Amino acid sequence: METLPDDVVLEILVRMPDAPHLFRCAATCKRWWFLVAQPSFLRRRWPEDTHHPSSLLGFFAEEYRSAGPRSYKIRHVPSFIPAPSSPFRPRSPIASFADAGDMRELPLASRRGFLLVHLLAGHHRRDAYKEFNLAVCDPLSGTSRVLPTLKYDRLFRIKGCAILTGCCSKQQQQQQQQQQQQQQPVLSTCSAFSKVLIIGFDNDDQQYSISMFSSDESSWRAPENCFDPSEHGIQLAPSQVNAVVCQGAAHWLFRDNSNFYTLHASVETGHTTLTKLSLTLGSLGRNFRDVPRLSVTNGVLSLLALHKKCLRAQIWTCRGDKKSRGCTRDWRHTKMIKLERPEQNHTKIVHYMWAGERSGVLLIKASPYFKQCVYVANLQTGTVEEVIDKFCGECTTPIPFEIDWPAFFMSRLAGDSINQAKLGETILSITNLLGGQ
Amino acid sequence: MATREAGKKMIMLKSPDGMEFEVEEAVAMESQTIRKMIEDDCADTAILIPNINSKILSRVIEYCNKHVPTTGATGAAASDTVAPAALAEDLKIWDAEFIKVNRATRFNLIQAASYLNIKGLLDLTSQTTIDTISDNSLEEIRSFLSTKNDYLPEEEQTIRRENQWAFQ
Repeated sequence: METLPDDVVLEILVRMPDAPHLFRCAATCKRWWFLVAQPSFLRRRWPEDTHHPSSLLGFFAEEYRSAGPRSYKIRHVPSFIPAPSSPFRPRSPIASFADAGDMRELPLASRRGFLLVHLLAGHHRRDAYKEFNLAVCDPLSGTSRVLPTLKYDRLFRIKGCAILTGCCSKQQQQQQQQQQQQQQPVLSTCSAFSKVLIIGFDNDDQQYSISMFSSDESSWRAPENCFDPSEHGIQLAPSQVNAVVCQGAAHWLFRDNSNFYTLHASVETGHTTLTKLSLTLGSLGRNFRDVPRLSVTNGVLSLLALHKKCLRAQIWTCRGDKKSRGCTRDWRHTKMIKLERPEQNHTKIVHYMWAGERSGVLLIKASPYFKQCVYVANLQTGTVEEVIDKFCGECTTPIPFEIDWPAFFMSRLAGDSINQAKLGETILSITNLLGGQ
Repeated sequence: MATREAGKKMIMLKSPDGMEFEVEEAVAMESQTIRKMIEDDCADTAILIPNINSKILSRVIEYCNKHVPTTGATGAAASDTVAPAALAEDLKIWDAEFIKVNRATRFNLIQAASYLNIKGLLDLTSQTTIDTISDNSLEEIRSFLSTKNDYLPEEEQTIRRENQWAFQ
């Protein structure tokens, strides 16, 4: 029987239309499994610097579920709702968490396949707490890690979060670039979370502070104040909970009555700086709906705003010099995207908006007339799809769940079920022998 | 340097089974591999194309001949006597006809396109293969690509159980 050479197989595999197809191919035989598991192949299939809409798997939101068939006790569990083209289905193994007992699990933020949940004892959710029990979950593998309790001396609210993975830091990026130059891409470091950053807000003091937890340490670092409230006379309010991570820092957008600010936290140290944006509410004009959101475009920090009738989105990118941090950075308008709505109903209120870091997808929760809807807009093509209206009504803010496909494939294909490295070598040497004849 | 004939540079390509093909330089340069050889001045005599037999090489040349941008004798840009859209449509029909070959030939063409680095041909041949297999079951994919299932039944079960998302 003829054997296809590796280069032919790779050319076929790299053109597989989506992740399930590629995964099925990897399952046809061990040699293919080995070929797919190569980091260089996976990065070729999903290049780092482009958006892949399929990275958005779906959303997490809270759901009420009874604890058992004869129990009247109701459990609050994060429920998974798939995105329109997601290969995952509702209640597929994706939603199985480590059992949190009677705790209520409230999804707070998500990034690169990890979900940060707030574990609450009892059913009532208060506004502020002195102690936060948080856990980082990997819903795809069904594992989770409960973090040490985050303690404050006074009542605090969580106003911002960031989950950082190994590949976020500058040092890592440089290492990776070096390795890429030597043609040895590495991915394995991305498949673990390395840090969690929390922006807390003290109501009495009107003070924001940042707390950092590193996965290799056993406790949280003492919170540090983010900026001096006396320097900014007018009260600043955060505009998005989930941070945007790029260029070695986590970024959150803040605003006051007339200006926007970005709060940057260094991925290495957790130190923060506040930067005033050259773009103001006034310069945006009246045509915009709601406050813009921070996002990443081609690895650069960008700002995304939605037009009044949700028919257009505008993108500004930050052209600031990385060295002159702290000064006002220059924001330039770079792109306008026309959105093609499935039906021409007028969106009255936008409740929530989120722009995907990996997927380049814009999520809009809005109410046209009396019905609430969640739309997913592909910012590359401008197409808009409606997500099943499960979020409507009593449901809380949906937390979009994105993954990095190469990292996901690496974690799946490097499993114990097959001793991949050894096997690959043997198979390759056999095929080389056969091919040489 | 390559030989000159009637104002057009010609290149000699040789297959391992001894056949020689004389093609225009522009046609040969559809292949990025050959283009590099020419640019590096490594193409003074005939270029030997290893691993690609004369039957496949002649088909590859046929493809390149069709897809090379039409140039005048002076080497100027293409004449616009035909509308680009019509031209593209014509090429599409031609491609569809071209790829009606048996499985072995198609795989040989993928290999040749990959070695010679001809993007259009690589896309065409691989995409056709994917269109054939993408909606098939594991068994059908295996038989089409003549790969042998070397998983133990338990291993395959584990993979399927742990990755239901890919097998729905």
